[in-house]
Amino acid sequence: MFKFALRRLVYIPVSLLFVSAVLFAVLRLTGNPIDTYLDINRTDEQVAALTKRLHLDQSLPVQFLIYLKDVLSGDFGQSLQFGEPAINVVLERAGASIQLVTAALVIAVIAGVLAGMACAVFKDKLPDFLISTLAVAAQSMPSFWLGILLIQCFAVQLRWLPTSGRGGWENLVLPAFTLAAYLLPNIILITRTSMLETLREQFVVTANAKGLSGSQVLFRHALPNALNPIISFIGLQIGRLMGGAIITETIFAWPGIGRLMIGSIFQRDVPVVIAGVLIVSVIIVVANLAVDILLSINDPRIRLD
Amino acid sequence: MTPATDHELSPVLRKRDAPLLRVENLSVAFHAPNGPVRAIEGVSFEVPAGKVLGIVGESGSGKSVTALSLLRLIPSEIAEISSGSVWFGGRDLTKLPERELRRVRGREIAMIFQEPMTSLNPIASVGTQLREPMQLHLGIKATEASRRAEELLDLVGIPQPRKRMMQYPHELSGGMRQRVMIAMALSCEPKLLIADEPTTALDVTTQAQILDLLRSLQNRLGLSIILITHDLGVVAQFADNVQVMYAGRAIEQAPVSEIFRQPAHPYTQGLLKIVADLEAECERLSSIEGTVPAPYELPPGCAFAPRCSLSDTACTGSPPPLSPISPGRRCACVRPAGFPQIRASA
Amino acid sequence: MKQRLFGKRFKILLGAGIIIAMCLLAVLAPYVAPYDPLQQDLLRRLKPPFFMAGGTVKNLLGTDNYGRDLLSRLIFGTQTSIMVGTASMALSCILGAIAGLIAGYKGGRIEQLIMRFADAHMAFPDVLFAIIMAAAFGGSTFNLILVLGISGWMIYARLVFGLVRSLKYRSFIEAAVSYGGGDRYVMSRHLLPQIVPILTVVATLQVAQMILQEAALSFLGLGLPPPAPTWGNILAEGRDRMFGAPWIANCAGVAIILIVFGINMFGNGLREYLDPQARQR
Repeated sequence: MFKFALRRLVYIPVSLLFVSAVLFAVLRLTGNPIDTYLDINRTDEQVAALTKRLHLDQSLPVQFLIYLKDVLSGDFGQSLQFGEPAINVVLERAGASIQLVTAALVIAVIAGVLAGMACAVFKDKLPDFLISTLAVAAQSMPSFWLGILLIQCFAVQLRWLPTSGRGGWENLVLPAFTLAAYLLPNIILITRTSMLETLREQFVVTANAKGLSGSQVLFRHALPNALNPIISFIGLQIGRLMGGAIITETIFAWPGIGRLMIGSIFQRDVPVVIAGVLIVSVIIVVANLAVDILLSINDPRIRLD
Repeated sequence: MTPATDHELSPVLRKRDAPLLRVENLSVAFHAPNGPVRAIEGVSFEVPAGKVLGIVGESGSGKSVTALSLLRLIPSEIAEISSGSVWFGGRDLTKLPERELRRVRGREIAMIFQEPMTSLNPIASVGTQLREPMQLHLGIKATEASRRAEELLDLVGIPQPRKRMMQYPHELSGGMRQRVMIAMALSCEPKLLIADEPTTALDVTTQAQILDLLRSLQNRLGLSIILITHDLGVVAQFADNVQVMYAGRAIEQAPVSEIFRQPAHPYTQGLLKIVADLEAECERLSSIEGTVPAPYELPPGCAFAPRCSLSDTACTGSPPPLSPISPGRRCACVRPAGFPQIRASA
Repeated sequence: MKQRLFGKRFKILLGAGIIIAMCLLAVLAPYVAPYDPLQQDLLRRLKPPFFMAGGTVKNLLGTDNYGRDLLSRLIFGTQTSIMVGTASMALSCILGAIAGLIAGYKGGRIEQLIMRFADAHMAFPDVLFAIIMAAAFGGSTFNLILVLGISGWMIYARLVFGLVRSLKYRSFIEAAVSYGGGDRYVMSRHLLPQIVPILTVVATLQVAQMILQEAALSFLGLGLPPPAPTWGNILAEGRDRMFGAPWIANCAGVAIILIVFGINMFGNGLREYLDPQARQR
């Protein structure tokens, strides 16, 4: 199984290289970097000094290589807003984002899988009808509006939970649920379909014939076999989840990387934007790897890669 | 509780102990969109202790439904036992509460199936699946269960049992998987084994091996077996008694030795004639004209009547009951070949 | 039996009805909207909708922070949503379908290259890409369409790839090749017609996704800059006013749900219509 993980590890640098290249291209092609740092009243000496420092006098490929070297050593320059190295600014906030995303994943997976199983077990009866309809309806809803609604309901009207900011667990509840809503409806529907298919398999009959109870058959035999498409789906959605995290952080003023980046765009703090994008890419790629490993742990047939 | 019987007990059975399993008038109906559809009707048979009963029939004759219904393994959304009883160990399995039925499944009556690849959980190891029934029914701890599982693998003729325990179904051959299924079924020392077409999915050589294995296990452990198959050859080799099914009904029952020598029901005769032609390498194989009627299109009388050369108006009234025609034999026909005609009563 | 009533015809009709209504609003916005969406009236700031206390029929859905009529802004918002939604869908559909067609038909190295690229791209959040683009180029309709169009091609590529792969070995393709059909001929004349129905269904459903994402991007401030009356912008403004004027955000939310619901209904009904064997939900 290690060979499998190793193979996947090779993808990481490749993907990141690609992302870096795109970033570099976009940055160099759009406007003069000099304008980011110096304003209209700049002197010629300042321009010359900055040009030298930013290596703008070198050829483009050389600039790219220097850029790569900087990226690999974590040097993104100084943040214009905070006056610290951009990478530090980003890493300080990474924890908050990871906490949010993890909480959302836990909620979405546990609630989604259980609800989907309920739909499969009670197929075409009331629980299935209710849950499935809600899930389909929820797909039409902009999740960020859900966040706003939740704030209105639980924070403004009922005053049970705070409206924003990070603190104790009560601060985590609404943002985590809002972010979980990105995945929840689809997880429910995929679980439902996958369980229905799995329950038709022959080994379920065998399990029953062995004398196992309904829930034993469901959780020990059916569910593990139904998990593959669900795990794959989550892997595919990680990118979307991170995007959702950015939005959720904005709604709830959650001090994570996403909120930082949005703010940095408006402040034109380019080093922070680059550092943020790359760190998020790293997180996504690592998460994808984790999902792949999870998949092969669950299903030994997949290890033959 | 004295069970009421509609049919006489065969004299052969009367002289020995009561049969291990007795099925009385079992009927199962499917839930179809337009109403219930009969899958099997009025099926009655006995399995004597230590004997092998072969149930033969074409696809759709109801043999698998019969087997699955003994342990109520067909989900209730799909089909239901509409009437009848299954007597085992002094209790009617059709009326047992689910919890008690589960104690019978895998412990006193075990079942193996046709497709060993899909019948085993593909993502659980062989060892895990073998240990499961023992841990569940006998309350044995994992290490002890592993030890017994290895012994079982040895019993069914799998070399290197310890290695196999860690493997997964897709790493074994078809024959080995079927052996694992057999081992799993025998793990709690059941009295009765139901084998639903255990060799159909295997190649001929492996088929013979598995049948040999079953036979030796039967002798060693005194196991009773119900063997479902469409293959008359398997029945001839292996079974003590035979039940032939057609369109959801049992139409003939006899000891193996007698049925091949002298089939009574026209359908059985037709089947055996085809086999005889094959053996004699005739140029033209005889066949039974017509096709099996679909479950929702059954004729009012004997289901075989439209294809039977001997049928007349007596056959179209109501289906002939399974009646004794000689000691140890029953037949559902008013005109069984070589036997006195049966006057259809009422 | 119960489902017959809400079967595919109902879905198609209901969905189409909503879509057509929205399109009409978009096209006729200048004539239908009671006010100019950009016109401020600071004397009538933060008026609630007519069905709430303090509201009047002068502003049916109330006004926002600058006294602009919410209903008018929402009506004009359909323009951006529908235009960006459809255009970006078209862009990603064309890009993706071509990529998937080539990858599926040619196979080998090209297939590996394209599909691996699709996998890698799928892992990347489009919001991130939008951030980069917004940082570099600023927000405009063109940029929005570009960003969303580029971020969506993988779905079509995968879909078409799978379809082509299964169709590739069918006899009518072999026949076409045998009488001298070149790659482009086979792809355009024979494969494409087979793919179009499913592609249409997916594309329709994707418009809804694009609209949602456009709203999200605008909400973050990466879309058309204010005071443009896009639904995302209105939602963003509404978020700041949740305590005092919740109707701003809520009405915008309802508008988005309405059109997405309509498109999803229509698309799902279309899918059931084209493939009666498709599993229900």
